[in-house]
Amino acid sequence: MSSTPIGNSPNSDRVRIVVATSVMLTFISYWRAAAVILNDLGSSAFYAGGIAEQAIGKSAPWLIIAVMLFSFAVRAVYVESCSMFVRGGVYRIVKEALGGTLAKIAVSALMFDYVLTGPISGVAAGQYVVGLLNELLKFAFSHSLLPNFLAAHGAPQLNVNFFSMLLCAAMTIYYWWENIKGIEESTDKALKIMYITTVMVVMVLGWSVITVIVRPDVHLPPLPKPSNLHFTPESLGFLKNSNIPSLFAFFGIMMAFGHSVLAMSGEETLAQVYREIASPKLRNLKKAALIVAIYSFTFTGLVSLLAVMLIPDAVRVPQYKDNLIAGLAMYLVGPMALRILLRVFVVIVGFLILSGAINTAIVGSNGVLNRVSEDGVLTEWFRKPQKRYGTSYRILNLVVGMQLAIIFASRGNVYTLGEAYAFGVMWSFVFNSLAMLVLRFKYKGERGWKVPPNITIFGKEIPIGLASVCMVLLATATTNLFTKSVATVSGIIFTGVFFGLFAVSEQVNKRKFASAEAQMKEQFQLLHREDVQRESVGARAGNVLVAVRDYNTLFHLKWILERTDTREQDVVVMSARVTRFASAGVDLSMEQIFSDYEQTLFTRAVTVAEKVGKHISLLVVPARDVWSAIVQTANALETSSVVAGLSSRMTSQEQAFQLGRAWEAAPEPKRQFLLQIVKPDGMVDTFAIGPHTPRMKPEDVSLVHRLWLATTKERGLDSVHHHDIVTLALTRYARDYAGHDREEILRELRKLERGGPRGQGDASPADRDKEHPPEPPSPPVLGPS
Amino acid sequence: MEFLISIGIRILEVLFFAGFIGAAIVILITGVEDIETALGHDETEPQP
Repeated sequence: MSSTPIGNSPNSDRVRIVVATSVMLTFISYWRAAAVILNDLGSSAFYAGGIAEQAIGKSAPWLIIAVMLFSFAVRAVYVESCSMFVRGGVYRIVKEALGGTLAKIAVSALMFDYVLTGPISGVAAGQYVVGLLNELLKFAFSHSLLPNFLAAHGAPQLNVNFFSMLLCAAMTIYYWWENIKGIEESTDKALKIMYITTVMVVMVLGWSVITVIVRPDVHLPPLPKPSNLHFTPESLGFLKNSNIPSLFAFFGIMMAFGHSVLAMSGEETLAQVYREIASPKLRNLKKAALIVAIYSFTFTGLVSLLAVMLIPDAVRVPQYKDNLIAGLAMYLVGPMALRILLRVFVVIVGFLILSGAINTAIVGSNGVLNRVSEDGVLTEWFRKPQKRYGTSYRILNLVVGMQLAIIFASRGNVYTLGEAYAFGVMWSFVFNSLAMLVLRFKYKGERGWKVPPNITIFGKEIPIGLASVCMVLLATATTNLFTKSVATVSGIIFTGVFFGLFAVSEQVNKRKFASAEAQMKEQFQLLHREDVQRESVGARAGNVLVAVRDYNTLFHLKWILERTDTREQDVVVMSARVTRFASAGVDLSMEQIFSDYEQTLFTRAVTVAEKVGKHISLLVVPARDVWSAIVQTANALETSSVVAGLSSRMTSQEQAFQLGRAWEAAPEPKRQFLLQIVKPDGMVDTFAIGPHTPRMKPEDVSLVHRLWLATTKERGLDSVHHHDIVTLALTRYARDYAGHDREEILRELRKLERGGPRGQGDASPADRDKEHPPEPPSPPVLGPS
Repeated sequence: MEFLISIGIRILEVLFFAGFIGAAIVILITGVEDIETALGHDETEPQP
């Protein structure tokens, strides 16, 4: 007996495990990619204008427009970095260019950015909601719609900051629980949010333009000349007692620019979705980046400008500084009821996009910390899966704990949060662009595109464009260090603490890894393969693919091994290592994919195989989506049946539906296979995935036979076959279904569905067929009939 | 000390100003490329 798979070296006792390092992705269009990025980037439009005006005065919209224009250039840096490393992002780029220490600092700054994205978005959402409630209370009071006990002391008003803080905390806890359960990421959701946001943007901008035309008292904000910039003691930061801002006029403009950079937070998402973009990748990335840049310029830039033009000075900062777009809705021309309706719509859209950003922040932080943990920079303790849901709950607890602390410390003040947020945003940009500049001289590999212009002097290429972007970012980030005291102090403390945590963890891991590596090498032999291939796994066509994840629930592996003769049919045990959007910041090496967790998982799997006395092959694949990974692996291995355990979160029908949907989305060529879901009590649900020969009831077979008999009696039709009858019936069905009889057919089908022998619906796209008691899976090669 | 601060600020100003002009050129050139990409013409080829 041996659990050594076919093809293993005869003089090695170690179990061979094929580790595929190419992530099995489900690719998305550039529109979807743009929607994902805009969900992050677009949310800043709801608060950036107000924060900038509080810091620098009425000229703020010009600076925001300048920042949004500059974001076109920053976008170019990200496009170049993506063209070099498909798995790009700050960590990967900085590590490649500047080494591990600076990469850890860069990731710490990025973490500060991610962690703060949640509180600032949530509090901003709260400001919009509570601001609207107060407006409605005022409206109700002025129209005597409130009961006496509420209206006794004038129009009742809620404390905006306090209730925003509570709402933000509640939303953060909600998304924490959703992430603990393992939330499904969906580009569909991102796309829908962007549809509704676009409707709002068009309505607000269109209505604002009409208002500008109709109202005679509307003026552009003052140009951002030094004399028009009005800094508060808060926005001067460490320079509040210095005469530097008045001595150096241009420095004042830099300070103002630094207070507006918040508007381009979210560019990092560009690098994270690049892996997911469909071919031609670079071209689609450029298109997505262009859509994002134009959209955010229009949304954030123009909305900020129109808000200053249309909302009177007397109320803009005092009343609407934290819900500027809602304020804009209230000062458009038209009846009050319509304006309130528009404001309600703005608040709904704002709530959707900003609450989505809270989730993005949690998912992003979780992804980054998971990946640095896999890189050995954070101990395995943090990645221990939650018992029931298998998620990295300790990291989620840490991130959400920090976010809640920040929410309560800020007391619902968007300005304070915005000030701090800019630190992470700016420094992750600086590290990225600086690293890209270094790589222009250091990196000799392929790059799909370069930031222009580049001039060659004495055979040496000088990256003028890239250096220019880097210079602006570095100068602005350095200026911010002096003018954003909250950001500097909190950012340095946070980055320092995270850097310390990473450095200590790395040392602990190095010691631990030395002994673990020795153990692993004794037991397993890792074989690196770029893609999954049948030959490399050593499995014959028609094999059984067993999907495993939780090492405590391997009953389905035992079940299939007991029923399979592995001399005739190979069994491949597969674990999908899920990577998320935010994890794209870090490359995955073989050791990262095959972590301690996989080691334990496969040790248990081998133990099960040894107990049963059967051969198994082991395979690890990194994947964005488990279902797609199973389908793609089954296709690559020419698998005849996939075996999985019953999920703790889904019914077997739901599991089959998810797999069926992934099958439908998979590119051609693809094979059909059976899915067998084994329950802990030994019951099995079997589903056919993909088009397959339907199981026919005896009476249907009999009907076909009777029709055939009758038909062959006709003159000239004596050589008709049974399948000709079925073909003709199907052809006529297709014709009627496409024609006038569609409704009648549907009615009859519904009647069949209700009263027919099956009694239950198809688990379409996977056809469902239960087996009780369980039968051994045959290796049928199913195909379209 | 004041002299050093002045030098530091001047350096930052030069970095920012020169960088901004360069970034404006980047935006112009990439803008033309973007229009070409949007219209379907793309010369992007792997470069050494």
